[in-house]
Amino acid sequence: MNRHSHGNVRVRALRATLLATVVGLFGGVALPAAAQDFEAVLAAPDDPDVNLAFARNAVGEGDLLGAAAALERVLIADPNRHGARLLYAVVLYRLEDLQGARDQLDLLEPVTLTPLQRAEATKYREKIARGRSTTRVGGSLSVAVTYEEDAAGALSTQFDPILAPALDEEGSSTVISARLNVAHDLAGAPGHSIYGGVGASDKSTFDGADGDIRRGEAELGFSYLGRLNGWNAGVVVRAIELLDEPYLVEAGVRGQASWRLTNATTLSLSGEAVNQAFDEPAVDAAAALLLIDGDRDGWRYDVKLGISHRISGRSSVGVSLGWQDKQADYEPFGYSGPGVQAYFDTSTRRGQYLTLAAGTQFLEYDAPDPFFLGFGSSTREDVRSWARLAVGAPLSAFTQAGGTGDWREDLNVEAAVTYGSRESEAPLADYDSWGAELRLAWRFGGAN
Amino acid sequence: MTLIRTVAAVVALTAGTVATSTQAQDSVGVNAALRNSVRTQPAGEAALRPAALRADVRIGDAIVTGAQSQLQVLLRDRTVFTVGSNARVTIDRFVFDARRSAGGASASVARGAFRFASGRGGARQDAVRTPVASIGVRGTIVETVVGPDALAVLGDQPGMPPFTGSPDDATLIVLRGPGPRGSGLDTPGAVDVTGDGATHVLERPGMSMFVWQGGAFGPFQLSDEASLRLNSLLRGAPTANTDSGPADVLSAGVDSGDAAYFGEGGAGDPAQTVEPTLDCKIGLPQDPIQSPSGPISQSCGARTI
Repeated sequence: MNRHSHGNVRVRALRATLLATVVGLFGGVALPAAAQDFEAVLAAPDDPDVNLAFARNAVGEGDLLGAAAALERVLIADPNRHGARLLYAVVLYRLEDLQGARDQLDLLEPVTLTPLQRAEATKYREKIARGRSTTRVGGSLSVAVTYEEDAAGALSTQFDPILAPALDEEGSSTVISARLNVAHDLAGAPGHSIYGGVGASDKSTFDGADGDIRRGEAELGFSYLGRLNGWNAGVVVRAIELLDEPYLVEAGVRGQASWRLTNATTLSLSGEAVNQAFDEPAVDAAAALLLIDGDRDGWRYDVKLGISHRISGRSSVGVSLGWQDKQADYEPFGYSGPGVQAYFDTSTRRGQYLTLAAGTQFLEYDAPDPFFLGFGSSTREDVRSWARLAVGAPLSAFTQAGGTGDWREDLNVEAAVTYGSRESEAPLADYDSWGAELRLAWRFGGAN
Repeated sequence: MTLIRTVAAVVALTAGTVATSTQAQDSVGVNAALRNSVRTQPAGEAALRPAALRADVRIGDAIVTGAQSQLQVLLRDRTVFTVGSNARVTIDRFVFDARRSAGGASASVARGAFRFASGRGGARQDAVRTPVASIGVRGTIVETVVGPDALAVLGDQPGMPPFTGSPDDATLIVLRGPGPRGSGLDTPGAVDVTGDGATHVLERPGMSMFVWQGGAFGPFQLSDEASLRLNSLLRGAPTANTDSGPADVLSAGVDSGDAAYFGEGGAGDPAQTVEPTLDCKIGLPQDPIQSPSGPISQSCGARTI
C-alpha cells in the first residue's frame, strides 16, 4: 500500500468517526426545557393530569427531582392514587432514595393494584433490596448468531498469524458470552468496595471460514464511588484460544477514574498494563531457524481519555482519545499509536434503543521486519477501524403496556450491522468486512 | 474547611437578607397542593388565615400546619417546599436569575416536618435554618423535623446517645437524594449541617444528623422504622383500597424512564449491572481492536455484553 492510499484510509476512518460524533450531537439534540409545561403547572398545580404529564416529560429530560415533586402534589391532594404512588416510588428509586422508595411500596402492600402494577411493585422491591445490600451480584448471558463478509480476513489480521496465507472467505458463527460480577461494600468506608468478575465467551463457526475463538477473563480490585467522582483499580488475567489452540495469556493491572463535570457530562481516564505471553509455535520455530532473539511476548499499555454527555434522559453521546503501546521481545512486533472512538445512543420510553459506535486507530510498528516481512520492507503501519450500528429492545417493549414487571424486561433482542477494516503494507493482507449480528441477551442481578 | 463552609453559610444568609428586602412584595411561587389544616400568615400580618390552593406565596410568609396536614409550595425556579404535619415554616429568601441560571431559596423551620427539593440553576445558594442548625443545601432533597416530632421519628435509632436537651429545638436532618448511583440528570446532592459548633457533610442518601442545643449525633444511617415515621409526617397514606386514578399509570417502569435507562454510558454501556466494568471503559464502548479478543469484544458495544 502506498502513502497516498494510506491517506485515503485515514480520511475514511476519520470520516466514519466524525460521522458517529456528528450524528450523536445532532441526532439527539436535547429538547429545550419544557418551560411551557412548567408554566401550565404553575397555573394549575392542583390538576393531577397536568402534573402526571409534567412528570412523564420531566423523566424524559432526566429531571427526576421535578418528576418527584409533581407526583408529590398528586399524592398530597389524593393519597389514594395508587398508580401515581407506584410511579413515585420508582422515581425515588431512580434518585437513589431507596429508603423513601421502599416506604412508598410498603404503603401499597394492602391496596388493590392491577396485576402489572403488582408485578412492578414486587420487582422494584427486589431491586431496592439489591441496591441496599452490601454485596451485589450481577451478570449477563447472551447468545448470538453472527455473519462476517470476510471472516477469514478478520481472523488472519486480528491475530497477526503472518505466516499463514491471506484468505478472503465469509463465515457464520455462534457466539455465547457470559459474565458474573460481584461487589462488596467495605465496612466503615462509605463508597468503597471490593469487586471481582469473571467472564467467558465462545465463538464457534458453523459455516464458512473457521474462526473459532474462546476467551476467558477474571478481574479483582477495589473501587470507590463518590458524589462527583469514582475510580477502580485491580488486577486482570485473560486467556485466549484461537482455532482450539492456546494463543495468548495476559496478566496485569487496570484502572479507571471518572469525574462528573456537570450534571450531564462525565470525564473519564482509564488505563491498562498487561504482560502478554503468546503461544505461537510457528513463529517460535521460525525465530529459532532464523536466529532471531525474541518473539511477540511483551507488555501492552493502553491509556484512554474519554468524555460522555447525556443529551437527555434517554440519549447520550461520547468520544474518547487513546494511546496504545505494545512492546515485544522481537522489536518489529512492537507498535504504538493513537486512537479515537465515538458513540451515540438513544432509546424510546419503552426501552427500544439504537446505538452507533465507531473508532479508528493508527499504529506504527517499532522497526522494519526483515525476517517475516522481507528485507527492504519499510516499517509497518496499520490503520484499524470499526463501526457498529445496533437496534434492540427488551421483550417487554413489545407488549401493550411496554412493561411487564418480569423476566421479559431483562431479556433483550438486538440486531446489529458491523464493519471492520485494517489497512497494512504488503505482504500483509488488508482486511475490510461488513457483518451482521442477531443477539439474545439476559441480564440478571445488579441494577436489573 | 469547616471555617470556610461556616463563612460561606454566613455570606449566603447575609445575601438572603438583602434579597428579601428587595423582593418582599413579589410573588415567588404558589400553593401547589394542600391537605387538611393549613394556614398562612402573610409577611407583616399578625393573623393566620386558611391557605388556599393556587394562592401566591411571598417572601416572609409563614405556613402553619396541623396534624395529618401537608402543603406543597412550588417556587418559580422549581424549588419545592413541602411543609408536613405540625409545622411552622417561614420563607426567608428567593433569588432567581434565569439568564444567569443562578438563584437560591431558603426557609426557616421553627417546628414540624419539612422537605426541601432544590430548583434549577447552576449556581445556587439554598439553605434551611432551624433553631439549632443551619443547613446548606447543594442540589438535593433534604428533610428536617424540628421539635418533639424529631424525637418521636428517631425512636430507638441504633447508637443514639441519651438525649439531654430541650425537645422543642431538637432537629433531625435527613439527606434523601439524588445519590451517586441515581440515574437522572440531577447532580448528586449533599448538605452541610452546621450545629453545635461544627459542620458535618452528608453526601449519601439516608445519611442523617440529629442536632440539639448543646449536642449533636451523627452522621448516621436513618433506620427503616424512622424513615417510615418521617414519611408519614410529609406524605399522606392511602385511605382506600381502590385506586382513585386507575388510568394514571399503565407501567411505572415505562413512565418513570427506568425502562429506557441503560446506564451512564447509555445503551452502549454494558456495565450497569455491577460496578466496575469488566470489559469496557467508563462511558464508552470498548475498542475491539485494542483488545486481543477482537471480534468477540466488539460485541461490547452491545447492551449486555
